[in-house]
Amino acid sequence: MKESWKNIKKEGYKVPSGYFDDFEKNLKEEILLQTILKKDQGGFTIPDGYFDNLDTQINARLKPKNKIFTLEKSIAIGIVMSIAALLVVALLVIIPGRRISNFDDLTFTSMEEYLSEDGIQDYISNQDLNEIEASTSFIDKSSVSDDLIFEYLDNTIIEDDITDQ
Amino acid sequence: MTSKKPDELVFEDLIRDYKEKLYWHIRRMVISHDDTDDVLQNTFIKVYKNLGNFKGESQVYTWLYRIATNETITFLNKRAKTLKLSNESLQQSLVSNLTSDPYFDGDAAQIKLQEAINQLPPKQKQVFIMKYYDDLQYNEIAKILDTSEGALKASYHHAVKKITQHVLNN
Repeated sequence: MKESWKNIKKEGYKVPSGYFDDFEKNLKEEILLQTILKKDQGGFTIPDGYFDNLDTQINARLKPKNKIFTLEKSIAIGIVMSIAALLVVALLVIIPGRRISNFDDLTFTSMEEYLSEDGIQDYISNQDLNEIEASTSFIDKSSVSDDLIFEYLDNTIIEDDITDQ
Repeated sequence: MTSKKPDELVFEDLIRDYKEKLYWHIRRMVISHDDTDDVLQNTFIKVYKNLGNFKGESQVYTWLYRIATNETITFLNKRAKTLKLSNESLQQSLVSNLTSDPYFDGDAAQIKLQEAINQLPPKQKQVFIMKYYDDLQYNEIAKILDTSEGALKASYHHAVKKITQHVLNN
């Protein structure tokens, strides 16, 4: 006979400690409770047809909110779209100086005006300009004499005239 | 012809299957029918809004009882705060209003029983109602109230003892 079969009557079930000591006491309390406290409605009543109408009442509280939400959402989308359209119109029509144009359409004059009025000073400080000027050789006056400049200009003008002809 | 979404169909089934059980669960804690109606409707509205979040990790009725219990506790706490009463005083005032409640036709003995139940601390009262009236198992109540089964058993036995003593001594 196998060893494991010897303890066949011990099934492994356990009970909480003191369970049988408290069993009688707990049972008496439960019987007493059920004697004095019936599992009925205990005198509470409800209006006639209350449960029949409950579904309708709950759905009535849910549906209007859904509609309001939809309406509010559509109004919000409408407002946002209107504002966006107004902004586009303002950019294209109301501010005339900000028209979008091709680089080829730009004139020299307008580029000069842009750079002198509101352009390059905002991005390059005076200190930066001085540094660029100091490090650039073609405007280094000390290394180029006036005679050399005149000679260069004369030759260039003559060559251009010849080429044009 | 209007076709209903799956969620709406499930919701209708939940109302149909659980409205009475949850009604009595709430009614025994808030006592007045009108207050019960408010809490019950709020419970189902919360259920509807959270239907998509229900992951099915717990039984559906455990989930419903949990929402109903939380709504009830929130309601009672708000009422106590509004009336500037402690929870115990609020319970006493709810029971004392029973005689003038049009939806209560119990006799003196039944009022005494309500007094006995409503003198319990809130937790013991919840456990007692769920175990005794709602016939829920300890493991189900443990999930609803997020408490250990051992603590629930102790609460229930304390509640039973207090109720029987109160009734026998008065």
